[in-house]
Amino acid sequence: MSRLLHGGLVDRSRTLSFSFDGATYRGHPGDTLASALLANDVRLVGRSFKYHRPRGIVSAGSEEPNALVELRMGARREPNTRATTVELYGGLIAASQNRWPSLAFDLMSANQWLSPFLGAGFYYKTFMWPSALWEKLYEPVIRRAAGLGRAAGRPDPDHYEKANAFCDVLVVGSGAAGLAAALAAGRSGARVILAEEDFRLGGRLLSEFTNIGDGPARDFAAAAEAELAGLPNVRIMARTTVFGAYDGSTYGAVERVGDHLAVPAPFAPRQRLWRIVTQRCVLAAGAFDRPIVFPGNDRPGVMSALALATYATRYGVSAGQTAAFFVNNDHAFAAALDAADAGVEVEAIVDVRPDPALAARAEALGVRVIQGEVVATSGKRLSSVTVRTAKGSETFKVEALGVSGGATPNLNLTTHMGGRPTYDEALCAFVPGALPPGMTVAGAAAGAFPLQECLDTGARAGAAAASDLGFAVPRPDVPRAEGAPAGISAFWHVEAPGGFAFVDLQNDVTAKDVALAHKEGYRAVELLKRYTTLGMATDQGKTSNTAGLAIMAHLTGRSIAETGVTVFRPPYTPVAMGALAGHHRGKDFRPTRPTPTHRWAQEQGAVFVEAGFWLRAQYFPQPGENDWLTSVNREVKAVRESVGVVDASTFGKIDLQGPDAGRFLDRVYINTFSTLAVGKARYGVMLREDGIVMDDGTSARLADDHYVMTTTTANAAKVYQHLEFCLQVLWPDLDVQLASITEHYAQIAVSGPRSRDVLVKVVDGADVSNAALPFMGVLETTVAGGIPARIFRLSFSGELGYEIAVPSGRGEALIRAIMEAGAPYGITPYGTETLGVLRIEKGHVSGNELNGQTSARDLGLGKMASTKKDYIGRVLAGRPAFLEEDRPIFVGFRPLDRTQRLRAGAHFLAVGAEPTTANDEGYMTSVAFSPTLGHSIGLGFLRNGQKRIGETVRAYDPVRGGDIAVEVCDPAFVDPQGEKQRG
Amino acid sequence: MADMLADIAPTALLPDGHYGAPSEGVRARLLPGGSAASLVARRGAAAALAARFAEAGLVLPAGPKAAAAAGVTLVGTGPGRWLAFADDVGVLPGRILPLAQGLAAVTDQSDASLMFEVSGPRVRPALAKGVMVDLDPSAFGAGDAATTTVSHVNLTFWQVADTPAEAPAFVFAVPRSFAPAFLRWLAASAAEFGFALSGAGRG
Repeated sequence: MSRLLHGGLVDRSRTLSFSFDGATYRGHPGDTLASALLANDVRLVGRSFKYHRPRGIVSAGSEEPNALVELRMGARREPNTRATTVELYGGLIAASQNRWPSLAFDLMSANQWLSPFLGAGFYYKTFMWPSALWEKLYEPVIRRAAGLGRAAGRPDPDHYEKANAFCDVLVVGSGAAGLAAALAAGRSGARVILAEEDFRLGGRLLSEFTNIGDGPARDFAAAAEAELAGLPNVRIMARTTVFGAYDGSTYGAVERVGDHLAVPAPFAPRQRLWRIVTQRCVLAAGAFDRPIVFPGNDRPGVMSALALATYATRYGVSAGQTAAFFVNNDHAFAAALDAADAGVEVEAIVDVRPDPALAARAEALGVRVIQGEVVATSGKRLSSVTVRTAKGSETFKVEALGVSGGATPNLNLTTHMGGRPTYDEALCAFVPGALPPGMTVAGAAAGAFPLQECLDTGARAGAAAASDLGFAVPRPDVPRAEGAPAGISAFWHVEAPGGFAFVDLQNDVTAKDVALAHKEGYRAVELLKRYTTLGMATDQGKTSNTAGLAIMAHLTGRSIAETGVTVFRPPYTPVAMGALAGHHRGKDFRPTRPTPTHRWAQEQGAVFVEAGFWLRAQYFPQPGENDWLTSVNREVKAVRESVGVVDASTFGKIDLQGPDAGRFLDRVYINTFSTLAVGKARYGVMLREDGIVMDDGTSARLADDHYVMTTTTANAAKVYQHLEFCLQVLWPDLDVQLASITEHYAQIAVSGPRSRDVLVKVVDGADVSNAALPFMGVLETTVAGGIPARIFRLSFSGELGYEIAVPSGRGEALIRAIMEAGAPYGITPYGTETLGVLRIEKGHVSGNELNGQTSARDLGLGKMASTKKDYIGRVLAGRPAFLEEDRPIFVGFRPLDRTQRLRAGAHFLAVGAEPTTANDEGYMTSVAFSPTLGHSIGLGFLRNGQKRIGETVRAYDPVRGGDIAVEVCDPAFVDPQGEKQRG
Repeated sequence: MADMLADIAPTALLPDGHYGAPSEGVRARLLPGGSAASLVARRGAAAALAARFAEAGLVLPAGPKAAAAAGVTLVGTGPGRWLAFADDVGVLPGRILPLAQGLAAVTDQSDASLMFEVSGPRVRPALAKGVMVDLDPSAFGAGDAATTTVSHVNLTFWQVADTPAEAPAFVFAVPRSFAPAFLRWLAASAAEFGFALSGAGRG
C-alpha cells in the first residue's frame, strides 16, 4: 500500500471497494480512481496509442494523456475515461484498454521496435498504393492496432438532459482566483454561477501546504465555499466542466450529475448539458504543469511534479515508495517540499537551475538538491533515474519522478472565439490574447501564478464584472497569502542519447518526430500538429503543446513567440454524445405530430408513415390483404369508381387578410390572384428568387380582403417564413396580415364520383350542387350538426372532390360523420400511398418534381405565368438556360412492354445510345402501378419532352439493373381533359 | 429514466397520473378548451388598436406580456401581433372581433393550441430544461410572456398574472399536434422532482 499514514482530504473512516482489470482494491470517499490505484500500488494503467508502451498516471486532472480506462460494464461501458477525474464510488469497475492479451504483456508493443518506420507521417508515406487496399486492408488494420477504448455497442440505459442557466457573472474554476472572483461578485448581489470541474471546490488550494490569512489555504477554500453557498444569488455547480465559449456570451457546460454513482439516482440524469448565458465571464481555470522532454520520460512512475504532490497532500498517497523531482521552477520545487511534508520519501530534487530559491528549505527537510538533468530512466515501472550533472552522471533508485517544466495557463476557453495566445518570455508561457466579449481572465489562467496574485486578480475581476453591470460592489476584502518565490528558467528538452523522449504521450509523438517534421518541411505549427498528431485526441495537447513548439522553435532558430501556437476548439474535454442529445432519443428524437384523425385511423388499422414531424396514414390494410400494393390498388379503385376519404390536415394553411392581400399574392405567385372572385379558389405556383419553383398549392378568396392559402406539407413552415420575409423586408408598405392556421384546421378530402352524395349528407342543409358549388368553388357553412366548416371543391386525384376544413378538435368527429354518410357507397379511407398513385395517374406534380431544380416551364406550368405583372423569380426564370429547347420538360412514360415495372431515378437515353453523361436526356421522378390502367406508369423530365410525345426512349437504371423501353406520353394518364373533376 | 415513457405512444397526450419521483415538485393541468384568436394590427394601426382596446377596458400589451382583463388574456407575440384567449367561447367573436374591426386581422385559433398550466415548487428548474428564456423572478415575473421554442416546439407561454414569484404558475399554449411531444418533454424534465398531470384524461 502506498497510502500515507495520515493526511489528505479522503474520508479514511469509510472504505470503498472497486476493481481494475478484474482485481479488487479498496479506496476511500474523496479518492479519484487514479489516487485509489496509486494507493494500491497499481502504477501501470494503460498502453500507449501507437507503440503500446506501458503507461502510468501522469496528472491529477482533466489534462491526463495516459490513464484512460474503460469505466463500467455492459451497456454502461464508457471508453477513454480519465482515471484522474473519475470520482471513486463503491463497486466501481474499470479496465485498461488498447492492449492484448493483457496490460502487463501486450503483443502490440512490438510496434515500438518498428518505430523507425512508424514515425511522423508514416500513414501518409506507407499506405499509398494500391489504393484498392485503403478501405479493405489498411484502414481496418490501422484501426485495430491504434485507437483507444471500445464503445459499449448497446443503447445507453441512462437518461441525459439539457438545461439553460442565466447569470450576471460566470466564474469558471474555483481555485484561489475563482473563489475570490465569485466572492467579490456574489457579495454585490449579482447573480453568479461558479462552475468547478472537480467534485470538490478549491483547485490547487486543496493540494498546497501554504497559508492564507491565519490558516491553511484549504480552510480558506472551505470558508469561501460556505459563504458562497449561503448567498441566494450564487449558484455553485461542482462536477461541471465549462467546455466551450460561444457567441452571445453563451457557454457550454456539462454537469456530471450521476457519474460518481454506480447508477444514477432514480429519475435523475447521468449528465446534464448546460447552456449558460451570462453577461460577464471570469475565467479562473488555473494552469497545467507541463512536462520536460527527456529519454524515458513516459515510464510508469514518471509524472507531473504537481500531480505527485497532489496525490500526497490531497489524497494521502505516495505515488512510489521513494520519489524524486526534476524541475525548472520554484512552484514545482515547493510542491516537492509539500510532498515531503506530507510524508513522501523524497530522495532528491533535480533542478536545472543553480541555487534554487528554496534549496535551504529542502536541505532542512533532508532532501538533496542536485543541479542537473534527468537523462534516462529504467524499469517497466520506474525503478531508477540517471542524472547528468556538471560532475558526471549519477543513477539512483526511485519509484516515482515528479517532473515540471513550468506552468501552462489553462486558457483554452479564451481561444474558442478566435483569440490567439501570446508568448510571455518572463513567464515561459503562452498567456491569453484577445478575449471573447465579456470575458476576463484571472489567476494562473492569466499567468498570474503567485497565490497572492491569484487572489488579487480574482477579486478584481469579480468586482469589475459586477460593477460593470451596475452592481454596488463592496470593497474587496482580499486576504493575504503566504509569499513564495516564483522563479523559472526556460527549459524544455534534455538532449541526450537513449530511448524515446516523448513530447506528446497520448499520441506517442517524440522529440525525434518533431525533428523529422522540421526536416521534411512541416515547420509551421498547424502543419507540425497535423503531420505528427502532436496535440490531438482526448487531451488536445493540454500539457504537451508548449514543449513541442519550443523544440520546433529551437530547430528553426526562431523564438517561441515567432513560432506561434495552435488554438483550441470546443470542447475543452470530450462531451458524451448522450449529453448533446439529451431528451431527444428514441421516440423523442424529434416531435411526433399526430393528425387530427390519428386515433380514428388507428382504429381502422392504418399503417403510418413519417412525413416530416407528422405521422400520416400510409394505407389501410383490410383482412386478407398481405401486401401494401393490394391495399393501395383497392383504395385507388374505390376513389376512381365510388368515393374515398383522406386526411389532408398536414398541408400548410395560411390566413391572409388586409386590403393589399390580392396584390401581395400576385407578387408571390406566378399567376394572378387579385382578380379571383370571392368564393373561388385557384391553383398557384410560387418561385424562389432564382426562378426555381418553391412550392405550389391553392389559395381561396373568402372576402375582398381575405384569402386562405394552402402549401405542401413539406414546405408549410418555409412558405410562411418566406411570406413574412416578403412583408417585413421586401414590401413593408403592403397592408397584409398573416396567420398560420395549420394547427387550427383539420382538412378532410372526400374524392370520387360519389363524393357529392356523401357531402350532401354531411353538410347541415347547404346547397352543394354543381351549380351552387362548382369546381374550384368555396363555401362557408356548417357540417355534422353545427361544426363551422369551409368546403373547397378541389381535386388532387382528378375526381370530383371536396376538402372540408373544420376546427382541428372536430376533425375526428367530421371523419366519423363522413364515414357514416359514405357507408352506402362503400366509402374507403386511403393514405399517402394512394394519394401518390392518384396524383401520378392524373399527372400532378408533387415533391419529387418540386425538387429545387425545376422551373415552372420545366414542370409544364409555364403557361400559368402571368406576363402582365411582376412576381418573385420572374426575371431569373427568364435566363436563357431556362428557356433552352432541349431542357428536360415534364412528361409521362409508360413501358412498351406493359408488364415491366418502371423505377424512379432511371435516366433517359435515346434508343441505342451509349450510357454516358453526354447522352443523358433526363430522369424519372415518380412511378406507380396504375390499377386504373393495369400497368406501371411514370412521370419525369425529358429533354424537349412535350414535343416528343409518342417517341420511344430507354429508362436506364444501372443501379438496379434496369434498361426498359418506354413510350413518352402526356403526364395525365387518367381523364386528360379534366372532365371528371368538373362534373 | 427513458423507460418511463418507453411504452407510451408518442401520438397521444400522456395520460393523467403521477410520473417520476414520489414528491409533487411540478404539476401540469390541461385547461378546458375556450376560444383563441390571433390579432395582427393593420399597417400602422397598432396604436389606434391599443387605444380602442383600452377604451373597452382591455390591455393590448406593447411587448412580450400577458394582460388579463374582462375574461380575456391578451399576449404580445411580436410587433403588432397578439394572441387572445378566453374561457368563454362567445367572447372572441362577440367582443374582440367587433373591437378590432378595421384595425386588425382577427383569425380564429380556438383549436390551434392546447393550454397547459404548469406550476409547483420545482417548476422553474424543470422548465429550465427546455425553456431558453431566463425565468428567474428578477428577469421574468407575473404577466411576462415569451414566444419561443421549447424542445423543438414553437409555442407561447406566460406567467399567470396573480401568481407570486415564490409559487409561479405558467400557461403554455402548445400547438395541438405538438402537445404530445411537449408533454413527454415536460414529464421527462420534471420526473426527478415528481410530476403530476391532470386534465388530459386517458391521453
